[in-house]
Amino acid sequence: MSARTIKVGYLARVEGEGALYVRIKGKEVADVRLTIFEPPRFFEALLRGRNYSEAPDITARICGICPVAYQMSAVHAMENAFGVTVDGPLRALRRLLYCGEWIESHALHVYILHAPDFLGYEDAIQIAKDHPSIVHRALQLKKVGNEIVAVLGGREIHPVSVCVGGFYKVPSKRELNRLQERLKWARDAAVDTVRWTSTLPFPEFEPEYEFVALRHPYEYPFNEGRLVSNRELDIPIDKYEEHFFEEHVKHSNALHSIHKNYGAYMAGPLARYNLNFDRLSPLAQSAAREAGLLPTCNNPFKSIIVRSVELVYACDEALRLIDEYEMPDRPSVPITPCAGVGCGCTEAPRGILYHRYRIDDQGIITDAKIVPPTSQNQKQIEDDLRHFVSKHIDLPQDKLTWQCEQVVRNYDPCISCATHFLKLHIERE
Amino acid sequence: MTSPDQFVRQLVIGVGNDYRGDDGAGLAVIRRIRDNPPAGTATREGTGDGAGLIDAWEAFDEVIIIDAASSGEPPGTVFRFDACEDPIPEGTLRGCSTHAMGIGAVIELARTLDRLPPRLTVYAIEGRDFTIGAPMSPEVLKAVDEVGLLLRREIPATAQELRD
Repeated sequence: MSARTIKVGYLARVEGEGALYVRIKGKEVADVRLTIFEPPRFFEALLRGRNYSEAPDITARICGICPVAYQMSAVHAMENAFGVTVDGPLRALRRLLYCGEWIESHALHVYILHAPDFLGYEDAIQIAKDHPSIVHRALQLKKVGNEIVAVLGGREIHPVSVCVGGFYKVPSKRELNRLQERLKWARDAAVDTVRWTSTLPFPEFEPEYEFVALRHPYEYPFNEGRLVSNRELDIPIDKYEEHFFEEHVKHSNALHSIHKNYGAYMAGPLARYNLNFDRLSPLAQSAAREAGLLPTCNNPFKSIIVRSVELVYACDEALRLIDEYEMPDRPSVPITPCAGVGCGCTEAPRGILYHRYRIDDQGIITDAKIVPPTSQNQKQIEDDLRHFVSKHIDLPQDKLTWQCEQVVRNYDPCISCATHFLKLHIERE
Repeated sequence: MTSPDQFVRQLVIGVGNDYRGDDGAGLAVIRRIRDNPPAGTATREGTGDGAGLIDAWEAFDEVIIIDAASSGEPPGTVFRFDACEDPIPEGTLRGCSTHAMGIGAVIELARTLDRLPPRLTVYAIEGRDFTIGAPMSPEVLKAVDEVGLLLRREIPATAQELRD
């Protein structure tokens, strides 16, 4: 029986260090392993003994591209523990901060990390040689996202102004208004991005998925909502651990997440889109329709279009929030720590990010749990690979290797987050 | 070329990770000179977002980037590259963020987009130990001091050259 192996020892154009191994026996996929060898980072352990107020700043260091997501999940979890609600302009500022992060993260992934796969380029430098205006657009879009985070957060990476209860300092109306002109440009550029990504070549590949995301009564979700899926899940976030559990697999330093009684599931832009299309702004919805998308999409390769639609939404929402903003009287609400347990679940660019903390009566963290979206997607990535390889088993080795790497990059994985980098190895026997 | 009376704008950027031993060499140089930089020179610590540097250096006539190197040469070796002339040899520089673009890739992207500054020099200090939590090696500390002194001599000289 013929056998072959596809091995990629170090995946490029993903964040973090991982490798991929696929073993094919004859016409069957015998084994698929997404190997995360990025070292474990022990954030859940080092949070123990720290003051509750340190959680946003410590957890932000888990990631340089989605620090806002960690800060938001942390502050919401602490406020949940203390019975505090942040509303009004402070709530709006948090949404605006998240818009900034989505813009810079999605722009980076769409153009620099993912687009090269569809165009047959090794990296964005090669795209820039043939299409400099496209790469220029990408860098400018990313810059707009960074500017929002810098104005609200104090700096572009690892913002310093976020605290439990709100912010250490809030911007004036004039400071935010200065972002409007660039955001209007970005919104137009995002619409062009949807149009451009819709022309890319997409493999025919539409598995059945369980999509899991937040759903809010009237907003496309960032910070708040219930956890829902397309398979009857509809729970408050504090029931997360009754429905999802983590297991350790030998070949990965990142835990795998399972939906109890169901199995693998998908978090991220495609999940949000499928479960919340009606919550997108009219402009984002029409951009999606013009790109040929229906309100649901099961092709993970088309996540590049969906990320672009979310780029449109984030720019649109940011402009709306800035337009309606009135500077609050104080930058944060008072916090009185007390003993208890609090949960926060917010939509990082890559999907739901769950935090849970136990606090003592002095406000000290005694226990922490952090479940990033990439670790939740790992099993689904392996399932996609198994499914994709079995459908395309006769492809030449180099083309199959390329497309398997693309399958992984569909998820915009953040491997450093997943470990609290891609080499694809396909063995054919 | 700037006119004799024109102010020459120079920027020194240090990149790296100061939690990883010798990977902090670039940042250490900036911290040596930032409180008393050569006249008219701006200094900046790289945030790890390489792509943002292309915008950061837009307003400057000369840019100097300082990073750690991992090329196999003896620790403390100081490399100097004229990045406007030639690409940085692959595998030399450490300054990279796996999410965003590494320094070498950023420079090549800027070259492709015709967005390099008029003069771009890269200094790289060969490191020995990049382990998380490790202290900086003595050879690298010495090289950090040397590069700091070198910049104090070179930057004014280059400014004069750009005016002439």
